[in-house]
Parts: sequence; C-alpha cells; structure tokens
Amino acid sequence: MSSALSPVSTFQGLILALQQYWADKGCVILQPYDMEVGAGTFHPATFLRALGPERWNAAYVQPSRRPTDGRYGENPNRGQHYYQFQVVMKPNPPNLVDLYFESLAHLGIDPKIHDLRLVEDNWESPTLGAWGLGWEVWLNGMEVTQFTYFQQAGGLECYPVTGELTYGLERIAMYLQNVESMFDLIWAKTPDGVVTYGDVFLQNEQEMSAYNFEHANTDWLFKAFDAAEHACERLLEQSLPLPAYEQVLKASHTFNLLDARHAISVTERQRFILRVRALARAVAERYYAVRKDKGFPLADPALRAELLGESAL
Amino acid sequence: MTTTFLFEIGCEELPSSSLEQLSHALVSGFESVLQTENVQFACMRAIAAPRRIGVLIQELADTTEPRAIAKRGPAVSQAYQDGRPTGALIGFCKGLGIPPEAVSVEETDKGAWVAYHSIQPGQPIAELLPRITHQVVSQLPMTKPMRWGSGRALFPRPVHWIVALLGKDVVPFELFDLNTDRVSYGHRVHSPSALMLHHADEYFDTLKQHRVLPDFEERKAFAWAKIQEVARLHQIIVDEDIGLLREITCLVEWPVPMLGEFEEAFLQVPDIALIAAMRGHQKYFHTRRADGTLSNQFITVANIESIDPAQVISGNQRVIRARLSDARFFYETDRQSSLDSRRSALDRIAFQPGLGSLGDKTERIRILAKEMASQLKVDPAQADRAALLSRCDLVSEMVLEFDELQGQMGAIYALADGETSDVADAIESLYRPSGPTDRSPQSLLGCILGLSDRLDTLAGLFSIGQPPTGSKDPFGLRRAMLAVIRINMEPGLALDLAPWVKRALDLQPVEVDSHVFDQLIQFLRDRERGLLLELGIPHDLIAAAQGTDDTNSHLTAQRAKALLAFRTHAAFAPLIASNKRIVNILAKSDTQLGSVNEALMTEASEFTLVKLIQAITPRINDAVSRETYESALEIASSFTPALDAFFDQVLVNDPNDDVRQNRYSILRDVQSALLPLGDLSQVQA
Repeated sequence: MSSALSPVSTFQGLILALQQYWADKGCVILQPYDMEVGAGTFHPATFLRALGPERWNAAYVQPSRRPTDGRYGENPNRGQHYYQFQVVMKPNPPNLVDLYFESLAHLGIDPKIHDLRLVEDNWESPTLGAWGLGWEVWLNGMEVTQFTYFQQAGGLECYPVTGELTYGLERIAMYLQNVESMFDLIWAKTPDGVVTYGDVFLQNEQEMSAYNFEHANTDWLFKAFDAAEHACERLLEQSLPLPAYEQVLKASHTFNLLDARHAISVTERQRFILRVRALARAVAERYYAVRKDKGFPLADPALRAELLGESAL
Repeated sequence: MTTTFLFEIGCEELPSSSLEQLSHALVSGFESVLQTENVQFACMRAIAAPRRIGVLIQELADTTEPRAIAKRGPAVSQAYQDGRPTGALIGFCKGLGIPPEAVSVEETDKGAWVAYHSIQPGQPIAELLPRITHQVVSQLPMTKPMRWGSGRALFPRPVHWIVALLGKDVVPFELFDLNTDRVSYGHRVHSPSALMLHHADEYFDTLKQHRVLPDFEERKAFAWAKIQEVARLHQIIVDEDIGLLREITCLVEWPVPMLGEFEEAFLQVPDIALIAAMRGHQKYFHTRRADGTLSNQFITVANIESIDPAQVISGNQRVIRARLSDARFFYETDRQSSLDSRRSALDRIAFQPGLGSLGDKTERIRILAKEMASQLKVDPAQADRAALLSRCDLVSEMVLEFDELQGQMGAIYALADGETSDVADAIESLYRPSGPTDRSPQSLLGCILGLSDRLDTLAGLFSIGQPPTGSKDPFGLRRAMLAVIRINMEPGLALDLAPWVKRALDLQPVEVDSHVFDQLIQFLRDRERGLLLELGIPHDLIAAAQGTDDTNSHLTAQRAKALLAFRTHAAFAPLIASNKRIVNILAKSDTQLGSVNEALMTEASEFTLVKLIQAITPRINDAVSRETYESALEIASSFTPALDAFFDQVLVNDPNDDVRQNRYSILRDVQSALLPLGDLSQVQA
C-alpha cells in the first residue's frame, strides 16, 4: 500500500481501507445520501432497508450534520459536520463482532495490543421511531464505534435483524495519526504537499456555525417544516415512499436547525419530534407495503413465503 | 453416585447492568427446580462473565430421590360388585397402568377406599436435565431481550454456544436454536479458538488457562488485589469503590489494571469534577497521595495483557486529557461569571406547566426561607441569599455536563464568589437527604433551604393535580415528603408543618382547591407513619402519637417513642383503660360543656379529681414542653387512682342535668390534660 493510501497516515486512506475491507466481506459500497442528515442511519440504505425480510449488506460514508454541535471550528473534537462510516448487514452474520475486530486490525489497530471493550449502549432514535441494542466500542477508553442490532424501525419490528456499525471516522483518524485536533488531521498526502482536514473543512465549520446559530431564517424554517410534512403526506397518498422519505429527512434537518436557533421551546420540542416520528412511521409502513407488493425480491425464499403468507411449496 | 453438571450459555458481551441479576436468577432457578424435582447436590457455583453465564453444579445425584406415591381411588362400595372390579376401579387402574390386583384398601373414618401405594424409582438425572434447564432458562428475568440474525430466540445479547456437560458426557438438547456441546471459548483476543472440555470438573481451570475468570466474585477479588498491587507499587491510595469495581468486573474477563497519569495542572480543577470525569465517563479509579490529596495518577482496568501496554496507557491518557480539558474549560468558563449572575437564566427553564420557571420557583423559595429563618432566629438575609443561589449551578457548564455534581458545584462556586460558608454549605445540601442512606443537611440554614424547596415542590405539584398515584411517583414526591419529615427531625427545627404547608400553597401561582391542604397533611401523616414503622413502632402507638393538633413530625416521633417505652410500665394499661372510659362517656355528650362549677360538686372524689387536674395539668405541660414525654406519661398516670375512685363513687349520669353536665366537664378537663400526649384512645389494649 502506498503511504498516500495508508489508513494510518491519511483520512482518505482510512475511508478507502474500510471500503475495501467491507467490500471484501460482501457489502455493496454505496455513496453518501445527497441530502442533509444527522447520521448514517438516516440514509435509506439503513433506515428503509432495515425493514422487511430482504437481504441487504452495504457500507458507505455518510457526511452528517448536527447543527447544535457547531463550535465555529474552535473545538478540536466537535463540529456541526462530520463523517460516519456505516456498515449494515441483514440478517446480521453470526460473526459480526469478529468481522468488526478484524476491520480494526485491517486499519492497523491490533486487538492484541489495544484494549477493545464492548460497553452496553442501547440506541434509540425518537424521530425515526427506531431502537436497537448493542454497545459503544471503546478503544483504550475512547468511544470509536456504535454497534447496534436493530429491533425496531419506523415502529415496525425488524425481522430479520440488521446489524449496524457506525465508525466515528474523525476520532479513529485522530487516534491513528496521533493528533489532538480534527482540523490537524492529514486528509491526503499529495505531490504538492499535505492537505489537512482543516484545509478542507475549517472555513465550512466557521461559516456553517454562523448560519446555524445566527442566520438561519426561522420563519422560513417553520414554513419549510410544515411544507415538508404536508408533501410527505401527499406523497404517501400516491404510494411513493421514497420521495416521501426525503420529505421526512427535510423535516428532520429543518427541526435540527430550528433547535440550534433556540426557536423551539421545551414543550414544543417534544411535539415536533412526534410529528417527524409520525411521518417516519407512515413512510416505513408504506415502504414495507410496496416491497411486499413487489414480492420482496431480495428475500430468501422461505422467509419470503412466510411473510407473503404463501405456502412454502 | 454423583457427577458434576456444567451449563454455560456463551454469548456476545452482556450488558453490565444485567449480568449479576441474570446470574443470580440462573443459580436460584436451578436450586429451586432441583429441589422440586427431589435431586440432591452439594454446591452450585455461578458462572458470570461478559461473554457467558451459567452454573457448575457439584456432586449432583445421578438419579432423583425415590418418591412415595399414594393415589386414592373409588370407595370400596363403588369399586367392587359381587367381588368383581367395577368400571370405576378398572378406569382408576388403567389411568395408573396397573392391574386391579395391585390396589389395596384403606380404612378411614369416612369409610373404606381403594388406594394404590408405590415407590416411584429415582429417575436418571441425564434424562431430566434438558427439561430442567429449559425451565430455568425460560424463567430468566430479561429487562431488555433482543433478537438477532433470522432467529426468533430472545436473550440480552446474541447467543453463540451452549455447553451442557454431565461429567464427561454431553447432555443433548436444543436451546436458542443451538445444540448443546462440549465446546466453549476462552478470551476473545487471547484465546479465540474453540476449547474442548473433556469433563465438567475441568471448567474453571481450563477457562483460567485461557484467560477468563468465569467466577464473578473471584474475578472481582482478583481485580481488586491487582489494583491494590499497582497502588502499592506507586505509593498511592485507591479508595474502595464497590460500585465501580462491580461494574468493571462486569466488563472484563481478564482484569489487567494499569496506571496512567495526567498533567498536574489539571489538579486546579475541583476534585469532584475530576473524579466525575474519571469515574463516570471512563470508569477509572482515581487515586490519592499518602496525605489524602488527589493525585494525578489513575488506574484503568484493561481486558487484555497487551503485548505493548504502553500503547494502552497512552491511549487512555489521551482520552482522559481530553475529558479533563473539557472539565477545566467548564470550570474556567463558569468562573468567569458569578453564581448570582446566573439567576436570570433560570427564568428560561420550565419547572412545571402552571408553576412557572425555575426562576419563579426560586422566588417562592426565597420568601418561604426568609420567613422560616425569622421564626427559627436565623439571619433571614442569609436564608434569602442561599435560596436565591440554590439552583444557579444548574445552568453552569459543569453541571450541564455532570448533573450528579448539582449542589456540590454550586457550593464551590459560591465560596469562590465570596459567599459565606453557611450559604455555601446550605447550597451543597439542597438535595439532601437524597435517599434513605443519605444524611440531612448539617446546618440550620441548610435545613431551612431544604424544607422550603421541598414544601414548594409538594405544594406546587399537588396544586396542579399531580400527586403520586399507586406506584407512580414521577416527581419523587414521596421522597420529598420523607425529606421534609427527616429534616424537621433535625435539632433546632421541630416546626409545626401545617402553617408552612399553607404558606407554600398560598405562594403557588395557580388557584388552589381547598381540599389540597387536607390532601397534603394526609400525605404527610402517611409518610410519617411509614417512617415510624421503620423505626419499629407499632401501628396503634403511631396513630396515638399522630392524634394531636400539631403537625410537628419531630414531636410525633418523640411521643411515639415515649409511648413505646412506657408501654411496659405497670401504670400504662390502667391509664389507657381510664382514658377509654372517659372517651366513651364524653362521646355521649352532645352539648357544649362549660367550665367546672365547684358549687355543683357533691362527692369527695369529685373534689379530689378536680384538685388533681389543677395540680397535674401544668406538670404534664411542663414535661411536654421539655419534650420529656415519658415522664409526662408517668405524671399523667397518677390520674388513675383518682379516676378509679371517681367512677366508683360518682354516678356521672346524674338525673340532675346541671350536675351531670358538670361531671362531664370534669372529665373533659382530664381529657384536655392528656391531649398533649397523643390520642391515647388509639392504643390497643
């Protein structure tokens, strides 16, 4: 491996190494979803694909936005924009923990050297009506990955179960490169010299923090939330769950922006979350129904028969 | 003959919050089922580690104990006709699979019956174990079970293997979609390949060779010993923290304590914040130097014997450095503004719908605390200050990050701002007592603040119709009322609470229904009763002690304790009996009684009793005012002979109305004299 692509010395090398590893394990390597989302879980490749009986193995990077976490680029560990590397496998293979440990070894984190710990952490997304059980993974005391077995999504039982791994890329890279600030991470080593994470994203953090906290137009955002909610409902009437889901994503991100602007009171906050959850639930049900109408094409025959209510013969 | 039985469920890392509970349930489940099935065994050893729970049952009997079986059939008269078995008897025998000749006849006082006695021979344990194990596992308590893969099985984390070995033989059955086997696994990193177990007896030794200590207590002791070893080597002291030690024992299969350190400069941050970061976030043990001060060294417990421990240590040091930097940043940021400048931020935090913000609550507490301080001869200005600042630390960066430091951080910031130490102490103890094992505030000012705060919370939530119902007490109001009672029992307090409840209700920003006051007093009485019951005071004495006009839990407790002590006294029963008689007589009086008129008295015993009332009443009151209730009871018991003479010689219900009323009045005066002792009529003979 050339040093330009070494997972230890560059951020892009880390991403490429993870993609390579999980491709070898049978995952479809997808690209990020092209909308603002709070986490890799919001990508339809996780949230919607976790529904129903169909097989699904995928891995992708997801740029994630959490407006309230912005610190104008002044906090070395926190930003309103960061990257997650997401792996989903349905049904989860029995050796998923082993595969995960092996992926770390592949990145140069040898479990015989480093203390890896699976610490109980149960995940729940109130806006997606989703929850699962699992751990946060500690690498010498630092949380580097969220590991979840999905039990429910959009209010529907996940059967079979999707195993989800969410690597915190900046944290892992900071560890591997031994730097104290995410902005000092080496993104790439090029013939013209080193390009850092700060070169790529510092200005973005500064300006987007200002937008999120100071300039986002709250009147318009409230209207946008209502419009997304309305559009989602209309699209569901047309039995179009995928475009409807995009409206859920818009509503969710709009809510996050309003939250960052402190435009929503504590009591209103809960009500907004419930509105997004109601949409996510309706989309999940519609998506499941549409896949069922199509005969769950990616499902194993026995499971398909069971869930289509047909005899296995 | 006996054998060892090994049962192990191998799984992915179990939640530390439920490992111990699961393990205890598994052991007690096996104990109870084996007892029901009549199977002897010598001892049971629990297996409880992150990736496994199970049991090792030693000297398990090969067979169940033979069991005597007695079945009663039809009456002899129904069982035979002309000496031949009837359908009834044949049916009975068929059910048991025996010939009719096998039955005997049993004579009872209700007649003769057909009976069948036999000894059920012992059953081989190997045949029973699959059913027994299934039964035990199906009854395991699982607060958050999960499914995995395409299966339907439920367990707290995915199950990977099941070992069921009776001696050297596998007991074959299926559990969690897996077949039992003799294959276990050692440490995830140190010994990843399968371990063949040849005999159940080998289990603990084999696992230990493969870097797993499956016995929870052994692992815990081992971890603690190693931690102590590290501490000794570096001449530091580790406080025993059982909670943290148990949690760590749940997280590692092979504990390897390691020493790390952070920059000395962080020690400028208050200890409690550093400890919260180390313990809460990272599960590290903090350490102290020989002089007791916090040291910059910590102990973390790894799960591996790393081939390069320096990397594990430096990784942990990196993490704690970031955590402590945050803590220092919070501390320094917080110190840039004074505690009282944060007061206005409380106006933006809702307390409860209808009850305003935390700022509004603070203002109400200030009024209560000032008034209470005046009554208790404490400087009202200090009480006001403590109340004003009491919740300001909730909007500090430090408490937003570590909410368990509320109160404690407030006290630190108050002192740094130049507030008096009394005010700081009061702020520190705002949340005390937080539970049955916590202490009450130590200062009078702290007690005043604690009482004001709880009374406001109770008055507010009862006013908006949110009292606890059944098992639901989302606002912790039972605990709040218990705190009120316990604080009021502190020296120097002893407030009559009803007026303060009333005052707290007056201050609420909502229209308060008139029954709310009674509801709160009843709630107070109920909690008071609970507390006194825990002190070992019987129901009837509590009811008696509560039967006065005051709502002073301190005095209630004194009365109850005095009654308990005086109950063994010879004078107690006669006093109670006399009092009962008075109560019964007065219950018949329906007119307003005037004062005693000596002109209407005729009998010597009347004069004696009236004189005694005049002599004893002030003495009782005096003893009561000194809170020496036991001697007050003793004084009161000197009424008994005079009352006996009175009832012997005097007909209370005299035909003359005036005389009768006058005699009622005399008894009423006796009753009034006894009233400060409680409602003695509640005492059971």
